[in-house]
Amino acid sequence: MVSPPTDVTEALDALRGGDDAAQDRLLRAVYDELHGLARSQRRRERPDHTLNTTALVHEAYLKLLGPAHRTYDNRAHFFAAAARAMRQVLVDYARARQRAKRGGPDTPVPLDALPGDPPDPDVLTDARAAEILDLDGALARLARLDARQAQVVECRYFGGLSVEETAEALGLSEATVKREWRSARAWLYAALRHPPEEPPEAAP
Amino acid sequence: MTEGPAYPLPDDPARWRAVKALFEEALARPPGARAAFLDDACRAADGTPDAALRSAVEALLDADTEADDFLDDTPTTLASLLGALAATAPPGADPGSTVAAGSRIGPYRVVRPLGSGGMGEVFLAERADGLFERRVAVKRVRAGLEHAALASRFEAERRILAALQHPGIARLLDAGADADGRPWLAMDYVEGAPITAYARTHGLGLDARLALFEAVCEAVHHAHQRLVVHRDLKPSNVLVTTDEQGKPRPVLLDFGIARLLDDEGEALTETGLRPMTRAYAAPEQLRGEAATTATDVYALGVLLYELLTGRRPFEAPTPAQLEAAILSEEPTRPSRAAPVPDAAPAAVPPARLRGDLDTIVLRALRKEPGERYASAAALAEDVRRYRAGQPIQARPPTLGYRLRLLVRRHPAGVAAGAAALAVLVAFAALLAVQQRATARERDAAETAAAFLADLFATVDPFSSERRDTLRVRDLLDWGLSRVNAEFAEEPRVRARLLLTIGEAFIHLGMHPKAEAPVEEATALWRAAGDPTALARSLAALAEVRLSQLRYEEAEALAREALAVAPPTLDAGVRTLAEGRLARALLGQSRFEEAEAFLQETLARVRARHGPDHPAAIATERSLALVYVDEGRLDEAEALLLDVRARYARLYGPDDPRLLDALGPLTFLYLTAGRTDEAAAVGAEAVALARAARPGSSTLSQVLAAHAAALRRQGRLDEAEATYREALALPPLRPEAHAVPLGGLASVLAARGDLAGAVEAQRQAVALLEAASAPSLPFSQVKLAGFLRDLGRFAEAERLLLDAAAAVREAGGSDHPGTNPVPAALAALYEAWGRPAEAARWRARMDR
Repeated sequence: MVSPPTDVTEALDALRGGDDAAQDRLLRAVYDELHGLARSQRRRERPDHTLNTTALVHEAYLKLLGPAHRTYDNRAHFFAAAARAMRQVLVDYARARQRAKRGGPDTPVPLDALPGDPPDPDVLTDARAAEILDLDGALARLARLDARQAQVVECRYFGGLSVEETAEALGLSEATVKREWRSARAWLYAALRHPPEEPPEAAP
Repeated sequence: MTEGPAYPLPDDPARWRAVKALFEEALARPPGARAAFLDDACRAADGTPDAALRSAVEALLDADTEADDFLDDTPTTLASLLGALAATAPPGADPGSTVAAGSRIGPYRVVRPLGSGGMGEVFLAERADGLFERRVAVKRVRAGLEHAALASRFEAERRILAALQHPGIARLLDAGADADGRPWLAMDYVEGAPITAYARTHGLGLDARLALFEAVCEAVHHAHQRLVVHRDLKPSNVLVTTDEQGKPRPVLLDFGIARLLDDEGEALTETGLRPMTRAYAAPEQLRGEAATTATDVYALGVLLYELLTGRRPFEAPTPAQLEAAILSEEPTRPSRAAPVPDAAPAAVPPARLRGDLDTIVLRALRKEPGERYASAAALAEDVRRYRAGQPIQARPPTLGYRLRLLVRRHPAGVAAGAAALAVLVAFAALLAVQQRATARERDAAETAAAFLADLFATVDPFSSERRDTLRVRDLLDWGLSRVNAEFAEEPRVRARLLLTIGEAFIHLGMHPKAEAPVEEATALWRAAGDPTALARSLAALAEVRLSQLRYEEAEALAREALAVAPPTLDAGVRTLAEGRLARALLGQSRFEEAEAFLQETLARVRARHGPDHPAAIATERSLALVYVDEGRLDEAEALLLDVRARYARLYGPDDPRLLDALGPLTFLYLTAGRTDEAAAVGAEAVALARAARPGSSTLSQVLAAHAAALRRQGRLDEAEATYREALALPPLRPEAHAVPLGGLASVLAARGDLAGAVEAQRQAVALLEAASAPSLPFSQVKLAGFLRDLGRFAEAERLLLDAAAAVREAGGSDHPGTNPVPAALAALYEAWGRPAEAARWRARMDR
C-alpha cells in the first residue's frame, strides 16, 4: 500500500514543527515504499541488475511526493527519513535472519514464515546479518557520544546519500559532513574490531 | 576473550569531542609530524600529559589508516538485501512487528495494532481471561533487544504510577515482560482526538478552549503533587473524549512513561529516536538537563499557545534551527503569531489574545524554569482568573528580562564591547526611571537620555569585530513601540523618549526612521513649553528635513531652534543647529549668507570655548562644505584635512565622526578630478562606515562615492561590486539610489553591456522622476545616450522630446549648463542621419 503524497507531505510539515510522531508516520510510508520498489526491481530479473540504494531513495522520493510538494525542505527531511527507514529495513531483516537461525519458540511469527518467497540464501549470509547488527549496535553507541555524527553515518551508509545530499538532509556544511564521516568511520572500525566488553556471542 | 576495554574508546560526549578535535588536527599534519604534535597537544586541563587521551587519538588514527574501504561497500550489498526482504515481507507489514491479532501479550489478547513508534508498538487489547470487558492499550518495546533487566524496574514504576488516580489521567493498569523479556505496559484505552484537533473540528471558542486547558493543568498538577513528571506533554498525549453527559473531558496519556523509558532510554531507542518532541521540549530538556515540574509547565505553555493560535511558539525548517530558537529566541507573542492559512474560522481572533493571555503564555514559556509559573496549578489559576475577568497574577515580561534575552541572543556582539552593554543598560535605566514620575528623577532621565544619545554618536554600540548596529536598531524599534503603547497619557515623558530615539536613529544614519518620532516630539514640546527640549527637537527635525532636501523647511526649523534656545543650551546642540542652518542655506545656493553666518558663529564659539572645542571644529567643517559648493576647493581641502586631523586627535582614528570629514573630502577630490586621492579617502571612509554604521544609509552613500572613484580609476569590477553593495542598503531618500544606479550604468556601458546600462539607468530615471528631482534631465540624457548607441533612436527621441517639454514647462532655459537636453537631441539626430534637425537643436543651444 502506497501512501498518497498528501500523507507524506503532511508528515513532513508536522516533522518540521518537531512532531516526532510524524517521524514515525513518515518512516512507515517510506519503509513501505522502499519495500515495494525493491520488490518490483527484483521482479525485472535482470541478471546483471544491481539495485542501488541511492536510486531507490530517489525513486521513492519522486513517487511519494507529488511534484507540487518537492520543495527543498521536503527533500532534505525526506532524505534523512529515508536513510533511517533503510537502516530499519536492513536491521529488521538481519534480525529476522538470526531469529530464523535460532528458530526457538520465542519467535512467535518469524518473518521468514510469512507467506511469500523464501529468502534468497545467497543474498545475506549469517555473517553478513551479524555484521549489520553489530554495526547498528555500534552506531547506537556512537549516537550516545554524538547524535549528529551518527546521523551522518546513517545517511551516508544506510541511505546511500552523497556528501552533498547528507549535508542538505541534516542542515550541515559539506565540510562538516566529510569531517564527521571520517572520524565516525575510524571510530566504528575501531569499535567493531575491539568491542568494549565481551566479544559478540555470534563470534565463532 | 579480553578483560575490560582493550581499546580506549572515549566513553562520554565531551571526551569524544576532545579526541575528535585532536584526531582532525593530527590528520591535517604530515604523518611524520603527528607524534610530536600529539606529545604537545594531549594534555589534561592542568597541563600534564594525558596518556589515555593520547592513546585514544592514536588508536583512532590507526583505525583510520586500516579502515581503508570500510563502509564503502554498501550500495550494492544493501540493495540486494532490500530485494530479498521485499520478497519475504509483504509490503505494509509493520517493521519488526511479530504480533498478529489474537496473539497474547501478558494477560492480554491483541485485537489490533493502534500504531507504532520509534521505540515501540501500541496495540488495542482485551483481557485474555475474559475477567473484565475493558479494552486496554498495550504498549510494547520493539523486538530485538535484551530487556530482561528492565522488567523489574518497570514493575517498580508501575506501582508509583498506579497512585495517579485522576479522571484526567489515563491510568497505567499493568506492566510486565513477555517471553522475549520485552517490557510492556497496559493503560486505559482512551477514544478521543488530540486536544488541538478537537478544538479545531468542534470550532471551540476562546472560553471553551481555555476551560479544556484549565482541566489539563489540573490533571498535570495532580501528578506533580505525587512527584510524577510527564516530560512529553503534547497534543497527541492530551486526548479529548466526551463523558456520559456529552461534555468534553481531556485525558492525559503516557503519564510518567517518558521517564520510565528515558532513564534507560538509550538502551531502548535502538535507532537513536529519543522519546522527545522537540517543538514541545523546554530549553532545559534540549540542554540535556533534568526535567522537573517546571518542564511540564513549559510544555503546557506550548500547548496553550497552539490551542490559541494554531501555531507553535517556535517553528523552523530544520531541527537544529528549531533547537536554537527554543534555546535563545523570544517567542512571538500569541497575539502577533502569524495566522494559520485555511484555519481562520476556528482560530481565536488575535486581538482577543492581546494583553493578559499574551502575558500568561509568555510567563509559562520563560527560558529559565524558575521564572515560569511555580506550578501547573498557578497557571490554571491565572487562566481561571482571566476567564472570570479578574486581574491575573503574572506580570508582563520586565525590561530586564527582555534585555537579558537580547544579550543571550547576541553573546558575540555583547561580549565584544562593554559599550554595547552600556547602551542597553542606559536605555533600560532611562525607561525605568521614566516610569516613576518625580521631578528629580526626570532630570536624571534627561541626563540618561543625553548619555544614551551620546553613546550612539560616539562609541559604536556593538564595537570590535562584530559591530551589530542592526540589533541596536531593533532595540530602538522596540523602544518606540513601547513608548507608543505605554506613555500615551504622559506627554513629557513620551516626548523625551521619542526625541531620544529619534536622535539615536539620526546618529545611526537612519534618518527615515527618525522622522515620525522627531515630528511628534517637536509637537509635544511646543505644547509643553520647554525651550531647551524644544530647541533640541527643532534641530533634530531640521536634520531630517535636510536629509529630504527640504531646505526651506530646514532653514525655518534651525532658525527657530536657535531663537527659542535659552543661553544655557548645550554648546553641542547649538552647534548642531547652526551647522544645519548653514547647510539649509547652502541647499538654496545662498553661499555668501551661509559663509557669513558660519564665520560669525566660528568667531563666537572660539571666543567662548577655545579653538579646539568640538563645536569649533564642527563649525569649520560646515564652512568647508560651503567652500566645496562654491568651488573654492583649495580652501575647502585645507579645512577638511585640518578637521580630520583634529577629530582623530580628539576621538581617535576609528571614531565614526571622522566620516563628517572623509565624506566631503571624497566628494571634493572627485570634483577636482584627483581620482587616486578620492579612492584612498573613499576606502578609508568605507572601512569606517562599514564598522561603525553597518546596514545604514550613511554606508550606502560612502560606498557610492568610493565606487565612483574606483570607476574613474578604471577598476570596473571593484566599482561594480561597490555600487551593488551600496544599492543593497537602505537609501537616505527614496531617490538616493539614483546615484549608484547611474554609476552602475556607466560601469556596464564601459564594459560594452549597453543593455544592462539601459536597465540600470532607467531605474535611476524612475526614482528621480518620482521625486521630481532637479537632476532628472541629466539622468534622462544619459539614458538617451545609451539608447542612441544601441541604435534605438526612436526611443531616445521620445525620451528627450518629453524631457525638453518638461524643462520648458518648468520655465527652464536651454542653457547647456542647466539643461543638457537640446545638446543631446542634436547629437541624437546627427547619429540618426538627420542633420537638419540636429542643426535646429544646436541653434537653440547657442541662443
